[in-house]
Amino acid sequence: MSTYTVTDQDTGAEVELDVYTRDKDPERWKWRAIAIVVVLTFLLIWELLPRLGLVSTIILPPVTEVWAGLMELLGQETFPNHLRVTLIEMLFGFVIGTLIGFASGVALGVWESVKKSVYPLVVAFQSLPKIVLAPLLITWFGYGIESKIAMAVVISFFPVLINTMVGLETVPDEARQLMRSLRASKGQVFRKLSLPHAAPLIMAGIKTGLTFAVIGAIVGEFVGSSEGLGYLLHAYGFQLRIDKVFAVIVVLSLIGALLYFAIDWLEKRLIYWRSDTTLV
Amino acid sequence: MNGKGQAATSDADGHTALVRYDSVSMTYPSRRGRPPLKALEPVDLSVERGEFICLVGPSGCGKTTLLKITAALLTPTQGSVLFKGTPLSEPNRAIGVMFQKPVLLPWRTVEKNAFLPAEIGGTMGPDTADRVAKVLSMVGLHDFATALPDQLSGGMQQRAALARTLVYEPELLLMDEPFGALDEFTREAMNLELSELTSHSGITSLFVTHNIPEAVFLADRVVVMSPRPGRVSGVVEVPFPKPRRVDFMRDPAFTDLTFEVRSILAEAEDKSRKAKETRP
Ligand SMILES: Nc1ncnc2c1ncn2[C@@H]1O[C@H](COP(=O)(O)OP(=O)(O)OP(=O)(O)O)[C@@H](O)[C@H]1O
Ligand SMILES: [Mg+2]
Repeated sequence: MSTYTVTDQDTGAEVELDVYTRDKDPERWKWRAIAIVVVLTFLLIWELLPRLGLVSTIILPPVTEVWAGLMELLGQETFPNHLRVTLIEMLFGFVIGTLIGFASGVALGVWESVKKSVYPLVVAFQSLPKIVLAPLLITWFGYGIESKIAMAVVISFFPVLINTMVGLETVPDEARQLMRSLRASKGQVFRKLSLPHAAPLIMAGIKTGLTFAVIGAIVGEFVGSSEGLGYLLHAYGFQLRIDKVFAVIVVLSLIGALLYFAIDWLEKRLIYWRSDTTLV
Repeated sequence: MNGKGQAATSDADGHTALVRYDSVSMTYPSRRGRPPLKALEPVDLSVERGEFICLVGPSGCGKTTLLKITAALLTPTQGSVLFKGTPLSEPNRAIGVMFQKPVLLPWRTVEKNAFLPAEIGGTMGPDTADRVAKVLSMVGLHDFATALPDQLSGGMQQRAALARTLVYEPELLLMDEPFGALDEFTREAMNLELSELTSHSGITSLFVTHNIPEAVFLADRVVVMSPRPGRVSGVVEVPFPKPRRVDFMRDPAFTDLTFEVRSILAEAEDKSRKAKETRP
């Protein structure tokens, strides 16, 4: 089961787009221009600080050097493999984590008995700083991508679980009573009421989970690996190639941003109603 | 009709009321250290087909409780409700419920909200769309069929909720202060429409309100309840033709009837206060 059935079930595709179009901010361009100026100023200061000798270039290489480092990195023969490994770890970790989080969130949110018996364990697990599991996962799953996927799963399933559970539990009483008065079956209540009601929150959990999966994969690589962007980061740090370190960071933030925008795009299409209002 | 049910539910001349309350009483069980709460003293009442009954009484006297019992969303601790001569034990699709809030599903358009009962009942047929369209124009929402609930005003949302209830043509319409949250103008307009709609369709209505003139305006009979625990402390007949028009409110009889309701309320209030004072 995937979360996306929510809207497939209940809305014709045409509804999503022509009914709720987002208000366009008339000053959008002005604010975009200002945002670009802010970024450029930031880059300029970054360039000038080391160039003027205010900061050592070993600590902070100028932007232009980072750019050169980035180009060099992208041209390296081994780079595509490092990129591929990290992407696989992130995506597998994210997808598996989301599925586990969703399934267990549903179990906890739907069955009172499951919640009563399992929730204390879940809370205990949540309070654990999951980074500490990284060495353990590496001894369990080895040096390869499996341990990194495991790390990404372990930290990304949680926000999905909690949000799914809370979303399913916060269905207003009146709406439940409406469904009961219509003699809806449990399955119908779940599909037509609880799941769509929880969808905005689940989606928010998935977004957080994605960010966490990226962190999980990189942390896993830090702790022990021989390939991947996290490994590169670590290696360049040791070699004091700070320009390359920054170059890897740039690649990582681009990946993060791309993934985030992709899911944001998806969210806007799936959650077309106003989610800040509960049932009106 | 079986002989046993008939003996219990019919008058001497063999006629059956649409709804009959047989010493219905309700005590909410104790919870979190609070003692059990007696919400309804035995209530006896018959509702005839096509009648419009308004239920008035002080806050907390059990009006909502009685309505929920009628919708079979609550089971009375004693007594029973007979619907068409048979005891109600679970929600019945011939009984439509309208709550104080519209309880529309925000991810569904007005039209799709109106489809909900048919979808759940598995009675979607080729004529369902026609019926929805008809009912939507009946409540004046034909231009808003494809709007989402958050694009409607409060009054329009209540109309949409009414449409959803009317689509499956219930025999009994239960309304719990459906216009309580609306402003005075909208409320009066809605009352006019409701009077028109219900008298033409011949539907039987049970309408809870805090507003005495509203009750007299709409009702064939106003049932006045005592303070908690609620009992029927009086019934005021309003023998005027329906649908009612605004000028009914100018009729001296209208004022007399509202006064009659008020004095029954005051008397019941008085009695309940004295009863409390004399209690040891
Ligand atoms: N689920 C519940 N559990 C315990 N007590 C309840 C519950 N629901 C209602 N009550 C109590 O029962 C009494 C009657 O409640 P009810 O909601 O029927 O009153 P009401 O006449 O509808 O009041 P109002 O006009 O304010 O809506 C109240 O004193 C209320 O506190
Ligand atoms: Mg009430």
